[in-house]
Amino acid sequence: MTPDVVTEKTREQEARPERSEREGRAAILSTHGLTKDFGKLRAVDGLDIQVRAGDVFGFLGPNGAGKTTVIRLVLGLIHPTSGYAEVAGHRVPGELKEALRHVGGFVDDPTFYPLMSARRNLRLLGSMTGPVSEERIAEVLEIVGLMDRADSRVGGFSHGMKQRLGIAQALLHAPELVVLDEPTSGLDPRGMKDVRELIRDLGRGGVTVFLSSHLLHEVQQVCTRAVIIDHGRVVVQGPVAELRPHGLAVKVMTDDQTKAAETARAVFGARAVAEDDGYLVVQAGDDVPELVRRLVADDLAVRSVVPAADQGLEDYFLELTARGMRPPEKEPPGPTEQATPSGEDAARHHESEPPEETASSAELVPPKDAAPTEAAASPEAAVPLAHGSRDEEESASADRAETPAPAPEETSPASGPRVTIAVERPGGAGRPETRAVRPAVGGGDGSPPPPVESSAAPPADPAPPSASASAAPSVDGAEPVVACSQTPGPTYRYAPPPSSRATRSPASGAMPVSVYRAAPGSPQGASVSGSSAPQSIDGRRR
Amino acid sequence: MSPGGVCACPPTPPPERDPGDGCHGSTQPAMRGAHWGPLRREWVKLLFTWRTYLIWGGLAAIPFLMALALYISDTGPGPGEGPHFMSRVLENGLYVPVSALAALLLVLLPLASAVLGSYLVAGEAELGTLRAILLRPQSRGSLIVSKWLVAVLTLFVGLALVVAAGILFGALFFGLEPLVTLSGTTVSIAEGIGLIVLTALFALAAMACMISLALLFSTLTNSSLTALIATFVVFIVVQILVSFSYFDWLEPYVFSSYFGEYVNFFRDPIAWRPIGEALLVFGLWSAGLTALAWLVFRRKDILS
Repeated sequence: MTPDVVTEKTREQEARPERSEREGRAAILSTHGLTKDFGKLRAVDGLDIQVRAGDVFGFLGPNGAGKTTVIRLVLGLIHPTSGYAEVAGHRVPGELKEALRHVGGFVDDPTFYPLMSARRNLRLLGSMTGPVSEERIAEVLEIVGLMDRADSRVGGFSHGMKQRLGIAQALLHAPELVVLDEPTSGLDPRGMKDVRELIRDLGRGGVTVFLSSHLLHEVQQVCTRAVIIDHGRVVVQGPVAELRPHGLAVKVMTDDQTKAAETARAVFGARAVAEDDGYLVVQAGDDVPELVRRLVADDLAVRSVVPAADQGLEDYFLELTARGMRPPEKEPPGPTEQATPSGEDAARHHESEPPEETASSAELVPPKDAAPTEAAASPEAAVPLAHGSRDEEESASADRAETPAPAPEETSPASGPRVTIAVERPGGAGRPETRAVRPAVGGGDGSPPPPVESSAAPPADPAPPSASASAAPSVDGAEPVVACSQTPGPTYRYAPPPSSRATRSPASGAMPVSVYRAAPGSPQGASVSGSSAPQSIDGRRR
Repeated sequence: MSPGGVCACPPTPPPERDPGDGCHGSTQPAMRGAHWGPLRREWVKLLFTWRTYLIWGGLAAIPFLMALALYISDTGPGPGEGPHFMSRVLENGLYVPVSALAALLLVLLPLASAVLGSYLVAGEAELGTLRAILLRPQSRGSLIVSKWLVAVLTLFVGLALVVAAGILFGALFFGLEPLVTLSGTTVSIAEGIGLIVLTALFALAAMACMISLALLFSTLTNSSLTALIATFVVFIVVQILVSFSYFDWLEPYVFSSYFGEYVNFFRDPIAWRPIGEALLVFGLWSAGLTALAWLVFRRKDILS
């Protein structure tokens, strides 16, 4: 283990001692100074990443950042120029064969023998790792919803179906570590959603998932920890909840737009206030309660406070990668930097506990950067007015539950966390949101209002490994997954509305994924088909 | 992983699960007969490839077409013309497989071997399945060796088809007679068939060299067509070179110079010495080229 990793880990533990139990878990995948040159090009440059057992680990980077090269290095397809990786306690290269026994997955697109059926492909590939029963093959095919095409030639499969088959192939031997290289590419929205739920379920089941992606919202939704790399180097590494700015964007609609704007400017500064499609966009960070209090004090009728659509991790990512791969300088701490919960904490928030005001942004410090943010834990971090002056401020992330990333143009010019204050137009019938006045908005200090809270949910829900995993299938509807999809906001959701989702029990079998989820009730050894027999594959067929 | 895993561990809550408990199915003892696993897999792969059947069909068609053409025209090539033994086909159907093998050894068999060999690694790289199979805990060495063996096996099936079809159509068109050897003696039909089988096995040994050569090029490139062309260019260039007297010194070292030694089976008694020499050369070339291919493949960066 390199000193960098050690220091990073120590910092994390200092920042959040309560997490030390979690940090104590063994690393199932780690790279140590991993370097790969292709001729003169340095594709991977002294990479140190650490994936702990049980993580759903997001591996982010722009195209050409070296993501796939790293995966190939870690799985022994290519040989490092220097450094090494460690997979399940085995060194790669060196003990590759032993290491690969613990890994399932695919690199780039999953590939198969085109003239063979899906079933035969699985049989062939699976037999290379160890014995595979026909029942297990049927099981994984059911998990990914390809049972009805099990005996047709893979050559006739669409890209999305091959992706699904790739996931089935990865799960065949129930490996400890599942490495998926952009598993949702080429999938339709339904398929994406299913795959993400499957990944979350794997995480709940204790499987470590290494998810390479350039879809930030995907990582935000399913991952507990993530690393962003660019040019083969780690840009930033840490829990997903901390990899995005925590400033919260809330759309507030009042009865007087102009006055509301003035008030907001008075609170947050001129730069923090913008207008967006009839709404006022104000960057308020965690101080939505303060904003609302001021609005109410100014005799404005607050109609609605909802999270504004924003880029979250995407903005952060663009900012990081555009700036020559340096993580942002830690500016005087603003509200965005404190109360950044880890995935698990965020999950607790979601269950409407007040947020812990412990600061943990120290984890944001890049591994190579020697100086941890001393300011991170300071109490004055909560000073509300810091926002307006911060142009480093990353925009907040709100409801991104099932939504593809909105185009960057949708962000307001000011990139910080925003509160959208929508003032009712004369004669305009309010939008659906306008009526959704939330009484909790003016809640106690430091407790974000409900819409805000739910914005923390997407990355959070994969976190609690214990609670939901063994829950009865019927509890599903109450899980954060569902809850966060109820968050208002722009959605391009393909899934049925929350109400219908809640009523759908796994037994009705609409989604193979929920079939899978049903299984953890009897975690090891029990067969999926036993616990949820009548899965139909409807909706899965192309 | 818990849901329906093939392992039968006690249902522990996921968070407490120790990753090292060996619970996942992947650490279960390997299946019985695992050594045959790689061979069987490669064989299945070849069976699920059209080009395998194309090669087999082509090889089986050659003796039939030859017999048919000679039967219809009723005039064979004169003595010394065409491949060995071709001139005798009209008198004795047993010469059909012999002359078919002789004709095939010139171009078509080396071509078929080169196709098979060059596809072995580069073909999988083209499909992208190479990275899929290398993500499985199998050594690259066993992969190369089993691939080579299965390619030889495929060719063996092809040669068996040639012999079977040759004897069948020779008997149908011309009838089988006792074989007259090059030394002028006559051997029985059964003995003659034995000699033909030996000839086919000799051809197989010769073609193993071609497969190894193609396999080497197959590991050097990600395109099976490039590997095929490279193999054939080398094969032809060497043959042209040794045809010049300046390169006579090269001839003993080149495996293609020994392709014609099968005629020694048709002497009475059989001249084993040149045959043994030829087999030794074939063996050395096959082993050397395959080992080289393994060395290349062992350290190869799989970027396909």
